[in-house]
Amino acid sequence: MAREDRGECRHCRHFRNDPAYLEAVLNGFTGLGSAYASTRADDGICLRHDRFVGPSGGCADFAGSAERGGGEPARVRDQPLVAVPGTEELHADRCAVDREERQRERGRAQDR
Amino acid sequence: MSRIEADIPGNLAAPRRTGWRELWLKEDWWAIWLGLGIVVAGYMFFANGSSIKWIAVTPARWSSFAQLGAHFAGNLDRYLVQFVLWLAVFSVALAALGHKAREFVPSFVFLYLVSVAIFAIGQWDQASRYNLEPPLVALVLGLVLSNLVGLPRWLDAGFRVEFYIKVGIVLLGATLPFTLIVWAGPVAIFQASIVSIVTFAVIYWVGLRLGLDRRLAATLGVGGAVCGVSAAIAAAGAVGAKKEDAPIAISLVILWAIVMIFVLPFLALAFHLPAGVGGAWIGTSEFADAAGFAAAQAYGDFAAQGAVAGTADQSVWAFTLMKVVGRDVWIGIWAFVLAIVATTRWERTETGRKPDAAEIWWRFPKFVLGFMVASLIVTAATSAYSLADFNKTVNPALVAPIKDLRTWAFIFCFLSIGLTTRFRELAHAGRKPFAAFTAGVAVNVVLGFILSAVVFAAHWESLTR
Repeated sequence: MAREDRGECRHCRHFRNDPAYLEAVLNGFTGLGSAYASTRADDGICLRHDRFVGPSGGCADFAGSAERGGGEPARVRDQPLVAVPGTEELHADRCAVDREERQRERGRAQDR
Repeated sequence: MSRIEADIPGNLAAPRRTGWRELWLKEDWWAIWLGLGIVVAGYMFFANGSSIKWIAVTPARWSSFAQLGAHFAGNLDRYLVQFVLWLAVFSVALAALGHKAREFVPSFVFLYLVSVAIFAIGQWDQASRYNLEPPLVALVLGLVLSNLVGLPRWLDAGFRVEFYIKVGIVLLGATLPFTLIVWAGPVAIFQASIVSIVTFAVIYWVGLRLGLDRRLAATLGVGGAVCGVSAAIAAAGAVGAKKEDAPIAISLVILWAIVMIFVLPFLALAFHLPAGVGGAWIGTSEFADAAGFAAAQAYGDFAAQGAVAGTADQSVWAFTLMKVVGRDVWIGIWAFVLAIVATTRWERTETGRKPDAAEIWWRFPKFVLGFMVASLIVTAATSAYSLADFNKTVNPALVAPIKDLRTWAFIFCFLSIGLTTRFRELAHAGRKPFAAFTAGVAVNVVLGFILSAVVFAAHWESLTR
């Protein structure tokens, strides 16, 4: 796939590096670590690719800060990565979202 | 909208590069400001013929509840002032970092009260008979409360493991002569380099042989080789690891770090290792600073009770030199090297990043600088004293109170480890990552023993002021 880097991750609406957010979605992080530590620098999570990335990265799926201003909320899939008792319904939602996304990806691949 | 969508919005405004704003946006720097603030205040009181020992109150040795009650009754005002001081400085720092004071305050009240109880248990004259060392008691009690009893989630606001341990490490610097850091530091760095490289290589190689993705293998490798969770997160960012890779590494680090808190001190005790040697081994083979300090302090307590040769200080000093000075400083270098490898040798990901040598500085665990500066301040300020005068004048009025405040910070930390470790919520690591990480643990523990107790045994045994 041809790529065109249109901007750095730090300006992308898919990028999340707020320390409180990272500690909330990465279970166990605060047990022996901290998202407020210097060692993390400004790294965060790309919600588009589900990867850890630095703020200086970039890719063809960049979605600029203007769009970010619209305030896309953290999606259902941004929940903690492990089931927390009492959140089974939310995890079912997450699975449904993942299924839909996979189907859309397959559809896009067939179109290409 | 689901509850979690509402509760965890993430950053909706475009994040700016932290840069030098990290001076007030990162907890490493706040640990420096608080730690050095206490050290400088302590020195100013000392220079004016006074001391901060009034506020650095700790439970006294006791053999009956009547004695214990009398101590608290007679020192209630000191405990109250100390509590207010801790609450004030931590609240300011955490508010600057973005935490909510209204959640932190009740949480810290709970943490302080339980810490007082743990400290008091450790001062019971029969405590050593039952292995009731404060670090171990704090950890076990915290684990029981969080895993068997259950605490409200909002209480986590005050359980800042990393922040407390960093404040404690900066304070520790004031009790460690800078000349000792200069003398023992190179050996620590050399030993740490060997261990870091070998441990990373073993975990990475075994991980690849088991079919793990190399980004996950690298994240696990750095987590085991350097300083646990922090290093794993740094490596995950450097290599562009998948979102689910970091929780796997976090789970394995926590699991093994907690196991090692109990295994290493008792294993070292079984081998009758001197305090300095045991501390160096723990520093080489533990996986996280906070967990390692719990183990090293517990081993120092064995030395204080006469169960092993050496002093309590030697265990903590050797651990600090090995872990903090020797291993932690590797984080930025690993992240930089892995970023180069990931972007030049591995397939370019869709979210490629440019390696930048400046990362070595930005990822440097800055609290280490505070530790060094604290050591330098006290060493320079007391260099004119003979050893006899130091022990008679400087130690009780300046060093001992700072050490007591450090012990408080460490107990806050050890208790917080237990209170924030909920085993059922940790990610399921899977057999292959577990096997790869465990292979690294096995090699690390054996190699750490050989280097600490055989190759450099004389060096670690002779740590002294």
